[in-house]
Amino acid sequence: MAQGESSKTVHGIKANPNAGGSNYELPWVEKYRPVYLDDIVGNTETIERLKIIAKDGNMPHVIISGMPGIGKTTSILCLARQLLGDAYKEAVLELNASDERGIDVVRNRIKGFAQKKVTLPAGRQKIVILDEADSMTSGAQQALRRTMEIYSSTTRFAFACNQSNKIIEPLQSRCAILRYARLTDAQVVRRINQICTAEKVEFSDDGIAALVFSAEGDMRQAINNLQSTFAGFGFVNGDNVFKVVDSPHPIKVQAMIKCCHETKIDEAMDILKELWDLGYSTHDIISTMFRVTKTIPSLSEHAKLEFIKEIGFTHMRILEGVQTFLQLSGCVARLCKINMKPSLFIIKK
Amino acid sequence: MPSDIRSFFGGGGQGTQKLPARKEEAPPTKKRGRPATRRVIHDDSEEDDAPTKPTPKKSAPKAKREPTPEGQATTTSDYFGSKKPKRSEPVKRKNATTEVTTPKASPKSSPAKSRTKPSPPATNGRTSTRAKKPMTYNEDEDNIDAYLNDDDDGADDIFAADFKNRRIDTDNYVESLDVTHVKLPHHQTPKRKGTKKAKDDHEENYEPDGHDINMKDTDADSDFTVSDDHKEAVKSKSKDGGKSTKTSSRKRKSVELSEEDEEAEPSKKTRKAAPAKKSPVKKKAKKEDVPENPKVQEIFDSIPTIRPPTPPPASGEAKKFNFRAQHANSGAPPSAGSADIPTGQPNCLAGLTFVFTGLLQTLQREEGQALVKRYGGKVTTAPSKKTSYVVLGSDAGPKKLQTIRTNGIKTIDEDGLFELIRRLPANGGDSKAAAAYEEKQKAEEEKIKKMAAEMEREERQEKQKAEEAKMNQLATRMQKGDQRKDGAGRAGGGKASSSGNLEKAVEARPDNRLWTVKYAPTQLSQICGNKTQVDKLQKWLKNFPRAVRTNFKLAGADGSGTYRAVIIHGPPGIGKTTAAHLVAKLEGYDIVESNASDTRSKKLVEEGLRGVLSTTSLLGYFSGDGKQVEASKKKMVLIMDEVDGMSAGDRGGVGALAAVCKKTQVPMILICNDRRLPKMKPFDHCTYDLPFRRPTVDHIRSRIMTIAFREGLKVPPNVINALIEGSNADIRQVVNMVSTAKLDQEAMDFDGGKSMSKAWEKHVILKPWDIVGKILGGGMFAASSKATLNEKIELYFNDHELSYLMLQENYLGTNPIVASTYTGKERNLKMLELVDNAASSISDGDLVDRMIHGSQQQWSLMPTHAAFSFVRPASFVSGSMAGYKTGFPSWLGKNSSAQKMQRMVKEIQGHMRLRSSADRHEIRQSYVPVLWSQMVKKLETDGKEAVPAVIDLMDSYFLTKDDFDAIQELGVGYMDQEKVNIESQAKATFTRLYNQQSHPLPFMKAGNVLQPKAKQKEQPDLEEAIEESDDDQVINEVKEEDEEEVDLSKDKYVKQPKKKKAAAKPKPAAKKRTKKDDSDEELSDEEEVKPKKGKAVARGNNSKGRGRGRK
Repeated sequence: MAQGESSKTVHGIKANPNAGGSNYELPWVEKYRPVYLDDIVGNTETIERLKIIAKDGNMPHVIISGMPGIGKTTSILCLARQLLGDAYKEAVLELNASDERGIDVVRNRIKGFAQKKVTLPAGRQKIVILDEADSMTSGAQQALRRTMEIYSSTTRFAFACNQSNKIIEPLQSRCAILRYARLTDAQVVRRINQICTAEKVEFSDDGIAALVFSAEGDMRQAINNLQSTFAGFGFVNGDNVFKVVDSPHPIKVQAMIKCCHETKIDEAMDILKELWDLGYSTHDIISTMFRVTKTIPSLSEHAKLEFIKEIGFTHMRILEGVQTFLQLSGCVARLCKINMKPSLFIIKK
Repeated sequence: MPSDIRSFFGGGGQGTQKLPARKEEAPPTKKRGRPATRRVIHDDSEEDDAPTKPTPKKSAPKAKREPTPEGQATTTSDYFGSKKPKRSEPVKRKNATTEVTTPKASPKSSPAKSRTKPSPPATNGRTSTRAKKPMTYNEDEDNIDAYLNDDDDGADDIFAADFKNRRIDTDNYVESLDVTHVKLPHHQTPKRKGTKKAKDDHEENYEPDGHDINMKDTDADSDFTVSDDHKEAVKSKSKDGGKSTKTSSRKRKSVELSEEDEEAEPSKKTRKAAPAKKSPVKKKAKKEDVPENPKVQEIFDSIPTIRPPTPPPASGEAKKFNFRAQHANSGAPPSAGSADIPTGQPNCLAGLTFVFTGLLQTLQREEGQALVKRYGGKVTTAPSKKTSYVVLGSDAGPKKLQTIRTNGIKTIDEDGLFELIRRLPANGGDSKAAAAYEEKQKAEEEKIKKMAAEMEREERQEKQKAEEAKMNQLATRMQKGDQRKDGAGRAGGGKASSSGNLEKAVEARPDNRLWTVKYAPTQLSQICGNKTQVDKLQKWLKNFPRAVRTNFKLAGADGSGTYRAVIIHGPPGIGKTTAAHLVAKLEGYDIVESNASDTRSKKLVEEGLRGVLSTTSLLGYFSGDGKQVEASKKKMVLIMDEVDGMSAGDRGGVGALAAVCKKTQVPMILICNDRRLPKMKPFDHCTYDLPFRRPTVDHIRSRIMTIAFREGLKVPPNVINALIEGSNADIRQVVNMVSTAKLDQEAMDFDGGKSMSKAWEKHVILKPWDIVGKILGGGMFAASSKATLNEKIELYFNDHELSYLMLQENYLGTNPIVASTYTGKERNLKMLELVDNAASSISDGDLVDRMIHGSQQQWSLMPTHAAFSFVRPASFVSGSMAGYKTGFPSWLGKNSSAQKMQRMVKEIQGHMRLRSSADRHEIRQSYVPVLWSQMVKKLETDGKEAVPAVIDLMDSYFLTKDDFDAIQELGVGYMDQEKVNIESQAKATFTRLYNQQSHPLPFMKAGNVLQPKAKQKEQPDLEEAIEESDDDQVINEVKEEDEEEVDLSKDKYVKQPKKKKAAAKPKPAAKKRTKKDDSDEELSDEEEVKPKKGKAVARGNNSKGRGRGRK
């Protein structure tokens, strides 16, 4: 049952940080999952509010939305734990995408849970945690509407989702919407340092920087990468991290695009060659190019769209099977050509 | 209209210079102040005093000609000297000009009118006062002073105020607005270079120098004769303003000669004194009400106004002038003009109403509106009499310009707005408008306190009830009921009396209800907005028993009497459910509710409701706790909430519910969000529609204020406005927001509120229409847009299946921004180029789409597809979609009919396989036309004679009757189905004969082809294979194979092997299908798998299996 699972995780989390070595086989992500709201990194303002709720009770319905790995589920679990304490097992119903959450489950199980009587201190209500709520069908969400209102005196709902637009508007209207922002690099660094210390990981600064960079504000990914780097190489430095992470360095790619923009084809080709020699696949390079071009700040939108056009066509060719270095080189050359004078390409006799 | 008079006055005023300026100032203030009662009163008094002299003289000409010059000279000089130096010079010039010109032109041009003419009755007070003032000045300074004093005390008329300001306060600048007004009338040109800003508030002491006098003299003599300096300035101005006639009159009245003039002149020049024209009207209005506080008035006056372009209908002459003036304005922005957004005193715009129109130069409209709101101003969308300022950009709509003109509203540009913000004191100072605003605020506060107290009382009452003996409870309830009814009628006026005696000690138990529950309305008066709808609902419910008696034959006053059910629909969070429950409760009904959390399938609706509909509530017979039985409780109402939430598992529920609605004897209230959904169609004629709209900000604000007050949270009104607007008037969400904010805050400021409502913004998946409107018409590609590429790509993913089709359908309907700078042929060429770019990008996108939805299933190309087929084309053609009706992709319809046609061709080809080796393209191109002429044409020309021959031909090619229809349908050009006219007799004969005979079959029948009945049906495998085939290829393949191998044997057993083959061939196709489906699913994240395909695939597999098994 969902309740059982969640309570188990609770157990694990509590035990592991203290137990240290004996649980080494646990993913660090679980091992170091915060137990108290105080431990949660980032989004301080929102967390402060949650802390007040945890203290005073009377939790409103909430929707927490944000990118993966920034502590949505964790904060809901922490909040529930702090609110309910020992009654957690009794008074929390946790359902995530792995549980069936069709309209029938909502009508039967959730409604039944909402009607259930659990003795709780004043100001505390049962909590229904719906993780990954954006994967619920809209029918199931519809069925939650009145349930949330009618039983609001005894049951409160907490939703976690990546895209809040997948939650139907009536539910959004009933909830406090908390949007989690990406964690800043400093926040990730601090947490990783703590874990490194706790796990006695040897690391270099550029290793940490590489971890943070590759994670892009996703704490879970940072910790996972840390663990795999540590498990694989025993030492965390930049090279090792990128070996594990295995994606072309966006900074490099960005530099390459910039060179193309400035029509410095030789430099662009050097970077491309460097990436190629690192063994990245054509797919990885081209899709990273696409992603980087989309967000590169120094290009005008028009230039971006022109670049994207070339990159897109190259992507298509690559997907059709021509995955050679020449393909990428051609793409880079065409990107350079965009900003060069057409007259340069007229052969003079 | 009075405009003429005003212009005259303006002329006179100009002579006096100071007066007009003040007038200008005054009008705005008056406008603001109008609401304030005080001022009005004062006005009257002033008018009484002052009017005697000036009113008769209102006609500008008089003032100008005779008395004004002299009197003005003295008066103006005094004023200026005492009050405001800045305007003096410009004013003089203007005055002079105005004087000369006004009499002639003033009547014509509306702006001129406003200034020159004494304002119409309401506003006229101002004009009259103005006139009076000058007069008074001229005649007796003493009198004037007295008036002024009076004015100061009472803040009577604007004029008075002006006078006071000038003379007494000396702080205020006399603004030159009046002067400008005057000029305008003369020229009749809309644009005036009114001196926008009084140089600064604070050259308090203007010394009335000879300027005033000179001015007057000059006025009398000639238009521009003024002090030399002035003259020069005037000339320059005149040139600038509208060389012909429209020189904006800078009406600053401050009369200081040298210094001020110098300063003022440049400022005047630079500032396009637009305010004067329209402002005069306002001023007049203001004057009527109450004179503005001098300082504030000064500021108002000093704000540079812009001459709004005349609306198109205006005379050509005027138009030209306007444009020029406008151009001049835009060319030389006021000195204050800069993109720096100033910071002002909090609430400094209190009480002012702004309208933004046109394209602002430095601000996005939203920014401007936010700015105004931040400082407590009010923003409306359409100008009206109450509008204090119009912030005018380029390309303002003609309609708005017209309104502006007729109402004489002050127009300013961004710089004027900045200036206002920079200079106005906190809370709008003590200007009329601010005072009015304050009063309103106070009234609101009081109301809130009252409401809060009421709420408290109610709460106490409830607790008491709980505690009191049952009998007491009952009594109180009754009381309360009465109370409520009273309250409903009188907006909750009379609760105090009843609740007073019930007060008892309130338990201090922590209240852990949600605020949305805690503060749910308990009386009708507390429901925000939708009053009429709620009333209708109540009336309907009240009359329901009578309607039952009359068997729903009498429609009643509002036509609701014939309905047994009501459907309430509207967006979430506006109180639909609350209203329904409350009304039912107040009408004494027992509520039975069913919502989306209950299963409501057809069966359950029918059975479950049967139990409800024919019963009465038990509460009418029994009651617990020794309470008396309330007979009224016998009545029941059925509330079906979230009717549109009936979905999976509720099959047939809607239909069953609609059926119930037609015969119920119990009132039913249905609630849904979107009434227009196709699935809500069954309710079309059996329910009484009550659309609920989003309440306005004003409706909600006091309620929210009350709640905040009760909870001890300090939220200024403009923050609440921001919250409400941010949430799109979703009351529930605002309450939630306030309650969340209360967690860690005691007060909320504007920025906090703004960011909160931004964070709480509901993200809803956009509908295709919204998507395309946003990307094409939403200004996402405008230079000022801050939307990133990522956001645009995100738009595509709102509906990745339709968004690009929508774009393709509508990309020609825009007025591209990029081409907006071109005209004539160049523009056409540019448009062509843009459309070409867009179209080629769309077709590039189609290539990508092939790779995604084709056999390769390259879903990683989705972002590329988004860029190619959606963002990039839009980047070329985005622009205003005004006047274009967004269409739905016609591709979808065409595509499906194309596929249908293809299927028909394939079927024909399949049937003909034994006779012809052509592939389906050749069949279509070579055979079908011939067949058409041999069959369809023949029937048409020869009538029933040809029938046997046609049938023979068909049999020889193994064509069926369906194929005949298909051939008919496939015709294009002269073969078009529409153009073929077969005699009905021939048709009937053909059909009869064809059905009588038996026809050779090339193979076991597929699809819809006529078939030898039962035997085939018996074989499940076959049928399934056929069903599967209803997507083209499969069918053909099956047919082909059948033809080849099966021949005509109709025996089941013979056929079976064929089935295998048929099944075998379908496999690959089926596989493809499944892939597609899978990908679809992945894409859409939701299981939108099309059931058909899925089934078809499943069947295909089954049939295969079976076929083999049988083998």
